[in-house]
Amino acid sequence: MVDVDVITQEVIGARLNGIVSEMQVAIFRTGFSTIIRETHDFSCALLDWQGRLVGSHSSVVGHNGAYPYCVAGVLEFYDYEDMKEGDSFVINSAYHSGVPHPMDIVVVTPIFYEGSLVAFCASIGHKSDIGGLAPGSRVTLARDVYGEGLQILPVRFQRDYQIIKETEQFFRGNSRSPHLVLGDLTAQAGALWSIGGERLIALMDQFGKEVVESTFDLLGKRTEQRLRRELEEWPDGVFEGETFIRDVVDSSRTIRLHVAAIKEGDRLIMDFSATGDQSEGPVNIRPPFLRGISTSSLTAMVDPSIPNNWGSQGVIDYRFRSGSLVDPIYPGPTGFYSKNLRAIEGIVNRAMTKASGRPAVSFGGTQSSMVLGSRGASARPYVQYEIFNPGSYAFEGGDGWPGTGHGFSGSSRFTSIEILEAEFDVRLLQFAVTPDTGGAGKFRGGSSYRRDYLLKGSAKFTGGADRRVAQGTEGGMDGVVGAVVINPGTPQEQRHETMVSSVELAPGDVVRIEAPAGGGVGDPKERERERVIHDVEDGIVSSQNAIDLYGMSQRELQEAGLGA
Amino acid sequence: MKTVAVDTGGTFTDMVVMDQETGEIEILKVPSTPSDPSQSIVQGVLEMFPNKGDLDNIGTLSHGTTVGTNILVQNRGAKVGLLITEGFTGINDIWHLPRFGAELGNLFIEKKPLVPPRFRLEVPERIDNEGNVLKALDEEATIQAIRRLKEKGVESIAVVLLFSFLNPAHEKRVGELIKQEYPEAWVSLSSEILPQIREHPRYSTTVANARLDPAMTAYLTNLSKQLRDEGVKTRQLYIMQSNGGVNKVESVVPVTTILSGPCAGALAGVEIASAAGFDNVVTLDVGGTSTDLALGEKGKILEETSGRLGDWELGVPMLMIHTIGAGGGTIAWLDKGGGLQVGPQSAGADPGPVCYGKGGTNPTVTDANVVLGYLNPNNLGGGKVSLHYDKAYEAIKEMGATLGLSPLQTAEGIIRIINAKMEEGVRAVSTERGYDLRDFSMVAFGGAGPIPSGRLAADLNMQKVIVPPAPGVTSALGLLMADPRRDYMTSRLAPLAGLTGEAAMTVFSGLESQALEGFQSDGFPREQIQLSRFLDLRYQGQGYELTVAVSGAAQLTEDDLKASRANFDQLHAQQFGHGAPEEPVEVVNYRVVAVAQVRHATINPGVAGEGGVETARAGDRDACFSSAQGMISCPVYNRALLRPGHRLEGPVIVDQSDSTTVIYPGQLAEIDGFGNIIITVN
Repeated sequence: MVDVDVITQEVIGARLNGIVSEMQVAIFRTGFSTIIRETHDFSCALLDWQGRLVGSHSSVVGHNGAYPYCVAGVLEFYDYEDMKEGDSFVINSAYHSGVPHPMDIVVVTPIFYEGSLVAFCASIGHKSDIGGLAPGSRVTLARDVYGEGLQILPVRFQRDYQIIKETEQFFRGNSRSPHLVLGDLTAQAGALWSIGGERLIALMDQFGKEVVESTFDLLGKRTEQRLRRELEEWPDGVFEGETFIRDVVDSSRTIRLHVAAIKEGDRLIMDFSATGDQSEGPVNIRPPFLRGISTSSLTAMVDPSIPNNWGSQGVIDYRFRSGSLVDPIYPGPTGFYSKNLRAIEGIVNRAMTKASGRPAVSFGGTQSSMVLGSRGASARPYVQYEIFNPGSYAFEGGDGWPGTGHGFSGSSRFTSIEILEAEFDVRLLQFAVTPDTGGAGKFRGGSSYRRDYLLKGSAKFTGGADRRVAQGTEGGMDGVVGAVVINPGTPQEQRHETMVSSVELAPGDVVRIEAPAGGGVGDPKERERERVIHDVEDGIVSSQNAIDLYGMSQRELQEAGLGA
Repeated sequence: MKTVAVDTGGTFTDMVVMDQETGEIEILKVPSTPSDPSQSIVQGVLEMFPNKGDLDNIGTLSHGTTVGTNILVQNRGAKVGLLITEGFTGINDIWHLPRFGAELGNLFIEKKPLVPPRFRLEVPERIDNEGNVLKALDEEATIQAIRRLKEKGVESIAVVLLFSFLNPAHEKRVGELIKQEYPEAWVSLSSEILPQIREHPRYSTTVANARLDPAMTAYLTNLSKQLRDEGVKTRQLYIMQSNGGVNKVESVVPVTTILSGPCAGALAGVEIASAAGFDNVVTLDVGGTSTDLALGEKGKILEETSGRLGDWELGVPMLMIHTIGAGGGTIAWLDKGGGLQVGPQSAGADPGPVCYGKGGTNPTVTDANVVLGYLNPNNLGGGKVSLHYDKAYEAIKEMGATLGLSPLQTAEGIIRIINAKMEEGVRAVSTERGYDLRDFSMVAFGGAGPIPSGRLAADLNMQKVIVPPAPGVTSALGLLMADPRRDYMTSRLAPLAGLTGEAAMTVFSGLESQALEGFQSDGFPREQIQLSRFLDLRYQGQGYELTVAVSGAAQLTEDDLKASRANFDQLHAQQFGHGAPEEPVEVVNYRVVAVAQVRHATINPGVAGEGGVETARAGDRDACFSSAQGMISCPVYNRALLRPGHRLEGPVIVDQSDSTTVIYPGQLAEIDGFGNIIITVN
């Protein structure tokens, strides 16, 4: 270790941010699949030679927690002596790395400077297909990881910058779209070397290897110190976050999600051990992702611009109970882990806001999805895939809202209605907020909304959301649950409040997606009168609910020109 | 005759007057008047033309403005009402945009619809994806909705109906009904503002226009009137648009002016560099609160067809300009981990840097430049603002004491950190898009651009730095270099393979006649108008398009379309590393760009000077190029007296009324035939 002045540390820090952002753009630019370019479900990171996170670029915050475990996975199977320049390694086993499910393949490349291994660059990216029961490899039917397609323990993918023939054949034989998988992996590895590797080497040329390596250390220590100083100012105590989900296999079974944030001096323990048992189905989550979410939640309490590195990651200690939903035992399946992400975010943010004294937050709804596939020989073949973000949480100080852009994982956009109608055999009948759905409160949860599709041809529908009530807090009320409704308002109406699979639909049928709503924060009677009046005028709250839940008087409403 | 250019910035309004015959240029900086920017413009014009009779000599006046940008960023502007297809209120009421920038990771923000739903009413009607009317417009209900908006005190109405880009009949009729029921209201129809498929960007752009309409129009009308009242007779008043072209004040669509300010600078930077023989450049425009960066390849600035400004998604053609929060007023601060941070917060113009003496206490980049001796404390704004060296020194000394650093080390540190951020910004417009910076030079301007540019270019391995003759008014100069330009577009989603040349021509002809009509009504003869055709293409099912040029032939053939297709595959390969010539391609949008060729500013060669470089010597100033070495005596030259052929060897500081250029130790500079300082950095 050499001493590095704070200025040089900051300059190198700015460079490291630039390196990860340039790697990310390079993968975006050269990736093959639409997953990379349209869904943006990928990230990249820079780690030191020990596998500690130095910098990352990610819209999926859980990935930050995953990376150290990915490098550790490589190091478990390969010695440093066995790595050389031009190598890259891949893993997708959630039990031998940090990736949350096998559809995410991580590429790890060691970076060498003057002959010695100085760092790792890594990138996690969702893959279009790795075999298994159905296209896309994710199936609710999976009861172990073997039902979720190819399982890759750490293997060498490239040597001397070339894909190893044996590895390539292995991929070719295990995917429905091998060219997309190999194309994306090559783009990931290429960016890691040509941007990450080359820029890191240039940085060491400029400042010296020892200075850069010491800065990796110092930046982490400074981040840790900054967060620990903040923690010291928080009160000591135990602060809990809790919610309940329905199991995907047995929808009558409720699983408890729980975390206790134990704060003592400048230490913080996130104890997830009271979370219920793992599911037989693919909704389990491995611990690394929870570490990523917890770190981001901590920095969000203090200052969201605090870097996500080994220093911020090292502030929190964790307790998990083996066999629980958040520390499943091998080979428990994890393909649909993302179904519970918002619930996990919710309990972590609840515990963290209580511990820090920041504004209380409620729970947001669950993300829903739909896949509509055309059917029949005469039909125009298509697969229409959409993601719907729910009504979001509220916080003491602001209302939730429906749609895109909230929390840590709400970045998926809506598909354009005009594009849908031009490309697929559907017509949209409605896309509108549903009144009286967001949890009432001093600050209201984000509303539910309806999106109705009229089918012009036969199709199979899979989608919806798992049933979970987005709880309100501090006197705020719960949000309504989501649903898929087939032929609403007709005698044949079918309502499903959990995910449905392969529903056969005929021309003229209507599918309605009802997005789950978020919970409220605080007593609705304390809500600013102006906000209540605007909600009534805006069609978010009915006059009746304004009176019943928010305690408005008939007269107040009439004075506002809203005759009830 | 004279051409006048006015660029309104946050602190100063820059003016350039060019003699159309000789090309000679005069410049002036006057303090901006943010509450009504037209005041400073009129005042500047009167200062430049003290004799009333001379005002007749103003042939054209071009203006770059941030009025529109500020309205949207500060969430001001008109009270807007929205009329939208019945059943589809979610386009407004449900949030559509992912987070970006400083919002990432922040759990405590609240988003509200662009139009409060109480001012968003439904219109019973529906058009399908082929432009057929599924449900006729219910005029009675529409009239009721318009009356309600009127009662609610809405001033400006946006009309956004599904598939109006294919069949605008319903929107047009709603527009007529508004005129009939509420003639005072401003109206923005989505089929006119942005006739493009994808309802959300069309809606957002149309609402933005409705927001801007009354204030922008009032501003421009008032400006024209004030100028006329003072005796400016010309009818040639132009506004800079985001697309890098200008448009007549009476024809400009407010939402197209969003990048009016930074565009002109980028344009001037690229033109000046091209004239000087540098075709590949990155423009670095450093102002008080931010730095604007753009890339010019072969003398042309990259463009994009949409952009984002805060919560607004704007589907208007714009130059690709990357803005980072790094400028002279950017604040240095200490974090709780004991680290020194610089930005992104800025002290702005008020209170401004500590050295302004207006009550600022946080050291800024400008304060560091004063302490390091780069900025002449007596020379900012041509001596109109004097800087308090002592105050800057004390603030930086105090910050350094906490860090255990000397004042010089602290000032140097602030500069090194902000420079690292600017360098990452340069990479974002160049290497991140696949360009190799070794093939590029840097054009540095804005009052504060030519101070760091020598260091940045050296660190980035760029070739040269070009410092234009008047860096502080380069943006204003760019206004003199812009041609009148109008963009027209429409969406027709269809497989390219099934498209005949004739069918494509029909669509293009429609757009071209609109373009000609527009320009001719502004008084441009046909022969001055140049039309270019483009198609936005994508591989079937992709979520994004690339714009490729289409033949300008009188009749299009299938071969012309095939050529465009080949260009698309190639462009896709260049931008994304791979193309797919075997995959089906879809046409999404048709575009026509119309440019009126007018005589505009050309870069004149300077006059070779009498006497050697020492005639321009203005003494020495102590400056610091390495805190280890401390302050050293550094030669200072007066830019106004430097002539083509003069050579300088760093360390040298060049002072001029609107900017300061630093030539670092070991760097060589020469004044070229156009009066630019060309610095060889390595």
